[in-house]
Amino acid sequence: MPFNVHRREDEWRDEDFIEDDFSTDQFSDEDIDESLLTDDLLEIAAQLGDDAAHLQACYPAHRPSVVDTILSETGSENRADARHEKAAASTAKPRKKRWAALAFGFGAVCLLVAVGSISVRSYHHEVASNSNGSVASSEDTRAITEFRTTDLEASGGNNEATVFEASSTMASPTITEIGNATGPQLEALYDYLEDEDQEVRLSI
Amino acid sequence: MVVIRLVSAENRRLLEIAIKTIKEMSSPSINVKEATDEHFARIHRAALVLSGNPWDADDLAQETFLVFAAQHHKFQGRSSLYTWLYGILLNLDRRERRKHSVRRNKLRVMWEDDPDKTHTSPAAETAIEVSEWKKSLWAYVAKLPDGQRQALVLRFSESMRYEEIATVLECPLGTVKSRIFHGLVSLRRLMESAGESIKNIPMFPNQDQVHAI
Repeated sequence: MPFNVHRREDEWRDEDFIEDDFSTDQFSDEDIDESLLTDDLLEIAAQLGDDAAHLQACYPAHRPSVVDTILSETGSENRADARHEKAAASTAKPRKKRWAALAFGFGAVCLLVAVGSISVRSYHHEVASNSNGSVASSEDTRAITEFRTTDLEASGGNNEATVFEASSTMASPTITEIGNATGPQLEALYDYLEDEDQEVRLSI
Repeated sequence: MVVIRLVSAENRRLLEIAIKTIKEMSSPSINVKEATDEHFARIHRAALVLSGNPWDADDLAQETFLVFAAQHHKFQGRSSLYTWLYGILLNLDRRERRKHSVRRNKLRVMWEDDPDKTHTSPAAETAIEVSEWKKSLWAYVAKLPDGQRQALVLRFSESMRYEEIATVLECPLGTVKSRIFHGLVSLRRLMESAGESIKNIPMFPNQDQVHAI
């Protein structure tokens, strides 16, 4: 007996249902363009669109009142939340900006200390310069940029290894001082940061 | 590579708070009521072709927007809003079909256990599709696997582009095209096995607005 879509639902058999055929989903990314569709498939596609339009015309959407009720309740909850948030907004906005500024400052500190530590380490390594002016360490694999050489030359430093003795009484430098720090100060900063018990305090 | 051990517990916490704040500030703000006004009709149309009757379509569309109202803050703006809404609708429809299938199987078992009893009418829990839907091709589409059925609905009922369908169904573009192609082929096979052809599908007269179940 051929399958009849108008058959009563209680007469449907198991074979009336097409189970998920996962093999049909295991296609490669082959482009099956609609230009490959035959005429009858195109007719079916067009009929699907017409049927959908007809169904919508027969049964237009009308929002149940409960939807508006729920949305208004959600909106009132949101408005209550908004009032609460507005009351706290006066402190929230500056607080958010403060966190963002702290994060930015923290990143700036990381960058400055990284630059400083590279400069400090360059005093301990034998360097060799090539014809292009770039420098390379002969002891380890850390890359030292041209900036280090320029910085050394500008500060009057030399390429010979120099031993620095960090003063234990040296106070920890603040952010504003790092920019003007000399080699020994950067060395001291590096040793200071090596101590895991130390905390970095950000002052902005 | 120089490693600077600067990140203490306190600084790490501050950095996490800053990142979280930046993420919250960048998420799009959505007016739920305006979005509902704009998209309810199209979601209802898709629900109608999926469910086959306007009552289930109303329920599906309503539930879609209730979920949207409750979780609109999760929308991150990586796709358009209506593709996100279609994703909610299709998930709800899949869930309803599975529940309905389980219920129907249970009813079949009950009726088969009592063969002497004459069943003159379907049980109250069975779904009732309207005649317009039963006569349309969408009744055949309901028999297809989920992937093909949903791709056909989004393509030929909602006129979505392939890229949008791929976003909604969370599958590659090629898979979307394959599902559409093979869905149409399966439709043709179903119609042929039912003795129908595209030329025999009745065209609905424009003046026919009488709805009979």
